[in-house]
Amino acid sequence: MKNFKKTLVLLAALALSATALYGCGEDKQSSTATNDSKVEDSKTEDSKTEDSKTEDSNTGSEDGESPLTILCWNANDSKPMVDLFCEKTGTDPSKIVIQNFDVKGEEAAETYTQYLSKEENDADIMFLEADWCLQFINDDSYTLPLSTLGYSESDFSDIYGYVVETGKSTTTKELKGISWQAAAGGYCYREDLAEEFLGVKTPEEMQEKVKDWDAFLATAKELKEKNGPAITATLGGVWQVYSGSRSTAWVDADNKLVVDDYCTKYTEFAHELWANEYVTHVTQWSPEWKPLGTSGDTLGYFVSTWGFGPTILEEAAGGDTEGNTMGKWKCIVGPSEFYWGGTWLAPSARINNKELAKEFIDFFTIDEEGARAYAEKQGEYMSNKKVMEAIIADGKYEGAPVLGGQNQFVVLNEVANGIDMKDKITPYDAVIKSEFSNAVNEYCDGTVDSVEEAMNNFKTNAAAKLGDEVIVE
Amino acid sequence: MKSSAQNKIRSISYAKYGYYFILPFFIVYFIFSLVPLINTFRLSVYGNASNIDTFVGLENFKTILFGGTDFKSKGIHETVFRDFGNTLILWFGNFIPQLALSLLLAVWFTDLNLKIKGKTFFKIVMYLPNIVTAASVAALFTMLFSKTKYGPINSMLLDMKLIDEPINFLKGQWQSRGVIMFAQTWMWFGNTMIMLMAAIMGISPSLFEAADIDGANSRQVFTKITLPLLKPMVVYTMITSMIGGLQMWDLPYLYKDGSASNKFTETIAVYIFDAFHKSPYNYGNSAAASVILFVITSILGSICFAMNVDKEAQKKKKMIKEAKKLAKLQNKSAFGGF
Repeated sequence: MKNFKKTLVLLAALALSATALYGCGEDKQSSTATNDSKVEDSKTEDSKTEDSKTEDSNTGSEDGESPLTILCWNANDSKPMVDLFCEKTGTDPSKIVIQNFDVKGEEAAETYTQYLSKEENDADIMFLEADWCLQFINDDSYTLPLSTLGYSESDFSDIYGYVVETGKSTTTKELKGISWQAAAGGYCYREDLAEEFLGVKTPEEMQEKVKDWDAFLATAKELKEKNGPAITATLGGVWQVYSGSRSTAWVDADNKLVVDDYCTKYTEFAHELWANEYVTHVTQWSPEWKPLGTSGDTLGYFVSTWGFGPTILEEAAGGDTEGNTMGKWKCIVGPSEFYWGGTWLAPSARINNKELAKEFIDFFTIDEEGARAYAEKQGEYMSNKKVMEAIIADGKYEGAPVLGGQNQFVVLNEVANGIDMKDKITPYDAVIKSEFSNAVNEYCDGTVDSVEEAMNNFKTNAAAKLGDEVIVE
Repeated sequence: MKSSAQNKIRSISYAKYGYYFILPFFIVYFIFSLVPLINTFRLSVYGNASNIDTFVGLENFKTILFGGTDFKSKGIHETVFRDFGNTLILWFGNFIPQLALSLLLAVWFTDLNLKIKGKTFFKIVMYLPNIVTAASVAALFTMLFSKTKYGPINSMLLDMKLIDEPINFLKGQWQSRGVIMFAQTWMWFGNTMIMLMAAIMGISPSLFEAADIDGANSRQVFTKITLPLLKPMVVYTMITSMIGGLQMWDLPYLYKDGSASNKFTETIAVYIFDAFHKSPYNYGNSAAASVILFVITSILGSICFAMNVDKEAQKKKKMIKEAKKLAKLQNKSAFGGF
């Protein structure tokens, strides 16, 4: 009896700890099992939110061929892409597995690293966001050059130059990733306000008013003198554009942080905009940001390809609500060409289905029919110049509804052609840019008193974040 | 003579079963807390970012504690010290008002002479903020205290002509700290109040009655009876709140303007998180800062613990010990005389 009780207690304790430890197993068998269920889980979640065609995709290995595994952090792009790809090419949907982690873009890098730390986890194509894509592209243990799929750089001659440049490793200069989108952006302003305060009637006249940063500042001043709105909503928006016009890379060939005239010039420019309220003091993405579009407190926003819909502009215009400003907006190139975001496709170092991976990348970039189909289906600005020019030429696309008949593709085409990113990208750009804009903001709102102090703070904080990676002097 | 049954009963040790039952906790603790803890110590002596596999000894500690002349060391040193300072300021700023408020309310709610109506209702209402997750509280406060003239609080104050310029609640030094302290107090005072009330109700009513009969006023009752007998609970609240306060992460991390960190409210836990989770992944610095935080928490924890030890009991123990010693000595000398 005593022994029985003992055993019982021991069993209960073991059962408890076993449940707690479930999933910690090191042996191949159990971890593969957990893995499969993970894929399954994300699948069920997919099919819940969207009509899934890739169900049962993990059975694709039946015919001996490994399925195409796509790593992504949400299904906003991957799902419609896979759907269209399977529909047009007749590929069996079960041959493609979307490994969706369903996290925020900035958390994706960490999730990918965790996922890939297990050797048996499969990956063929990785979705990489502009901000951190170099972290993987520069690392040969994560990604392979596109040449291993049989591409040469000349294959991408129809793709906008900057898209190709961003996909290159900054250490080996090899092309390792390519994007199907060109996230070029422009300045969108309210036509009615522009006419009221500036007497401007056409987008061409408006472009003349903001053709460079000096003209931009002069127009901002003119608006304020007439008690008009701020020229643009946020300083963050201005920085998004201004940072694209930097002529050199942030980190030079000797791995040193470059703090030059450009920095001080921008700091003073930003201070002038801020102090005179040429920009509203609202922060980008804060709850007050979009309502500015209907309240008449701002003349315009800097908007990228993906922002013409509800993400930014449509909501800023008030959507279907009363007093909305839908159709009153126009888009122009603005003071400087810029791009904002975008997702790159890179072949993973673990790729085991090169044919299908190549077919997939081809379909959305080089293949004109595929790219066009996707552009028309999703209203997305593709990286294939030829396709976009053809869409503009045949005039079937009427432009975003918020623009009231203007086709933003015409403007974006001009912007995308003007973006030059050659040798300007470093893996630390995201950290450096955010530290820089923090320092500038502190100078603007009076936390620090001088430009020198702001630059000093910028260097100190950037150095603290970058550690030994970049030399700061 | 004892029967065999009696013998059997004596041999059952229930303590053993207790160990079996707490075993799962220790296993889970070992894997999810102790191993990461030890790993943190290991990481703290390794490099940062791409040097993650290089052993650097106490380099990270040196940089954090003493800084240097170059931008990197200076930056890390200043950031960590600034964040420790913020942590302490934010903790004091929310713990003191929180304790004062909860103590006052607890005394009022337990005072039978006051006859407050709707006690249960108030208790529930005051406890409710604690049920809301910190993330929601942060979102709510970020929205309410928006820094521009469009923000609800600012626009209200402007309309009432109390201020001329919108107050920068999100980024201003004391404004942003004030909001976080207020939110923390608001979230936790209900919880502290319930605990103090439980402690007060545990005090024998006869003491209060005796004081009443002797004609003590409420102030005397509070300072001579309630407060001394409440001390263990106050110390307990202080320890838990201190450990929680030193690790304060959620509100300071979420209550900020856009994605930019606010250097006046960034706590040490936020620094550790950012260094660990954001490119270029400075694991070494992050782990070293965690170890320093661990040491500080241990020191402050032991101080609080020492304060909590019952001095009377300690004295008694000492006296007993001395008496025993004396007796022994006497015994010795008695026999030693031979």
